[in-house]
Amino acid sequence: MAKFIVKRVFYGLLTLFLIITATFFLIAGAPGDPIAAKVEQMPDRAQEVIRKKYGLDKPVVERYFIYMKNLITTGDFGESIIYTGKSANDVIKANAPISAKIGIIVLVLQVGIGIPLGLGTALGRGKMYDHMIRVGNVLCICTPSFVFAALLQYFLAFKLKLAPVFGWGQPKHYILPVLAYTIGGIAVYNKYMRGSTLSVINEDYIVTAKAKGCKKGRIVRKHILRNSMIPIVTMIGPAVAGIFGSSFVIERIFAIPGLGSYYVKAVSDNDYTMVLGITIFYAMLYVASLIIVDILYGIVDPRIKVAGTEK
Amino acid sequence: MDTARTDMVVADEMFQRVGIDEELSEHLDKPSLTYWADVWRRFRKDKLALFGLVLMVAIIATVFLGPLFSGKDYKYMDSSVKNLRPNAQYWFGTDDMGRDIFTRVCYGGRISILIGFLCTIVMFVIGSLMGALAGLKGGWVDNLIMRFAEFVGNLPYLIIVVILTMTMGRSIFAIVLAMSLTSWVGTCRMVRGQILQLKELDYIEAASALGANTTRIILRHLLPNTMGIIMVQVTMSIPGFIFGEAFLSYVGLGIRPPGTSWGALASAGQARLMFHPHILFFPCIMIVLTTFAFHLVGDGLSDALDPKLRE
Repeated sequence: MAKFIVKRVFYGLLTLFLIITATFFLIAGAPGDPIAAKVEQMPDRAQEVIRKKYGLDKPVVERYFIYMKNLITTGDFGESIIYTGKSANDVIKANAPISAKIGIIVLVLQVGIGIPLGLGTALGRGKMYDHMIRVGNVLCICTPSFVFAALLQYFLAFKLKLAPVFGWGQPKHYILPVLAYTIGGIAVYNKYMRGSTLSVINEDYIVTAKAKGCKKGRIVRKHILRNSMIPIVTMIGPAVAGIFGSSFVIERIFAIPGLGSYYVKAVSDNDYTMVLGITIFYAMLYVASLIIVDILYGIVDPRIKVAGTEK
Repeated sequence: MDTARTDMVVADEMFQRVGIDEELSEHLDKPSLTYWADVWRRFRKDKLALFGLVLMVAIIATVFLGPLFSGKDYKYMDSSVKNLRPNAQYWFGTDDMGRDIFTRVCYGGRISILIGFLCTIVMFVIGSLMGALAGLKGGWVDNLIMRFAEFVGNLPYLIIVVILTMTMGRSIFAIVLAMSLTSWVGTCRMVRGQILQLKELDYIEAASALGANTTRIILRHLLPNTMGIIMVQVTMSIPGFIFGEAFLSYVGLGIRPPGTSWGALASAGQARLMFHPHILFFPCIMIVLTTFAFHLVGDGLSDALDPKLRE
């Protein structure tokens, strides 16, 4: 197990290193001078000072080493070239917790509702409610979250005045974004949980458990749930990372000052250093969560490890 | 009745020798079906899947032929007809610049569907080539490709797409490239798995014993046999890419004006949601319907290809 973890962490760090390097050079090689728009109007002397401040007077490779050194030794993600004095670290510190709060609530709701629903429909397969939930499910999967957001804004907020249309700061501002973001996820978890439960429900060990007189509740808890949860664990990992990554649509629609909306803004502003910093932050979260999932997966399903060592 | 039966006499002349009619035993009641004809026969029985197929064809036909019937140009602005509700002349109404929404939705749909198809083709070509190579060659080639696939699979998808479109400009080409670059991993794994499985089968051995070279084995034997699973993945991927593009365009990182897509149209409609909801409604409903149709077809296809899965 220890060897597996060390190996996995090593690969994770390698991936991270490659992402950072690739992102750095992609952005450095992007067409156009990142700072031109800002300094165009200034006298040459001032331009030079500013270029020096951002290290843009040095060649790309040297800049890369300086950036990497700062990142590793001080954890410095870089400074915005559009808003002087604002560092990516400040932005992450100020905006990431907001995204995290919404994301965690959403994830808990999605998993908490989607999984029991999937289990329930699988156990009652072929019944009326199973068919109804399945149809609803397909529709929910086919609907992008921004459509839910628009529907909620129009009906709940605008017509019925049950919640504010957008904004941030009070508990009531959570209602619409959380709802809009949760619905699609519930459908996805429900679908996979249903499928995975159906695939274990006819296994021999379930029949055995029934034959030896196990109570239904016990069969579900001890035999079905334990096995059907395994594939779901792999989905939750990337979903944790996705809390930050994919929330930017919702954050933008509801004007939530989260990291996602800031990221989108940085991209449209061509704020290269800020994009680089936040990208690296996202990549770190993503890689870390994948490592944790792989380790968890090994613990939940011992067969994986066996298969891994056989290779 | 019981007594009547005991009275019955069973005599020899009540029996008659039938014999074997050689011709009749060879007679086929139904014509023999090819694999795809058989799939089609099962697919046709699934009413929901058939409905999906009809919907899919209808949407594609509308999107490509619609502007011919509406007789309007997607870019033509008429300031006297701003924000009209749907009516006889403007079937889906007009937007805030007096453009015909029906024509715009058709035009945007072409782009959305085109992106969906292009991404899928690129993903499918790269993925199956890599997968087939890895599966057939084995050894270090396999190792190298699978390590690389693992690396790409560990990249945060949305972030990569954002970075690539930012550095390459927001053209259709950039979006297609960015989305397919990160998505071929799934196809590659699937094709490799299939080939590893099929490779051991007798008919492949027979083909290579008869002197068929690798290309012939791949094209004539392996590909047709993996076609089924690939088809299902293709129908499921297209809506995924349409979704992906819609999200990007919705937050303003995708298609740029004057070009448009369903996502970009929805994004423009978002601002007018409160007073002119129809501007947002039509592109959204098209995204939902298209995804829905592809899902139904994909589900039906996977059932038709593997009837065992049904139970």
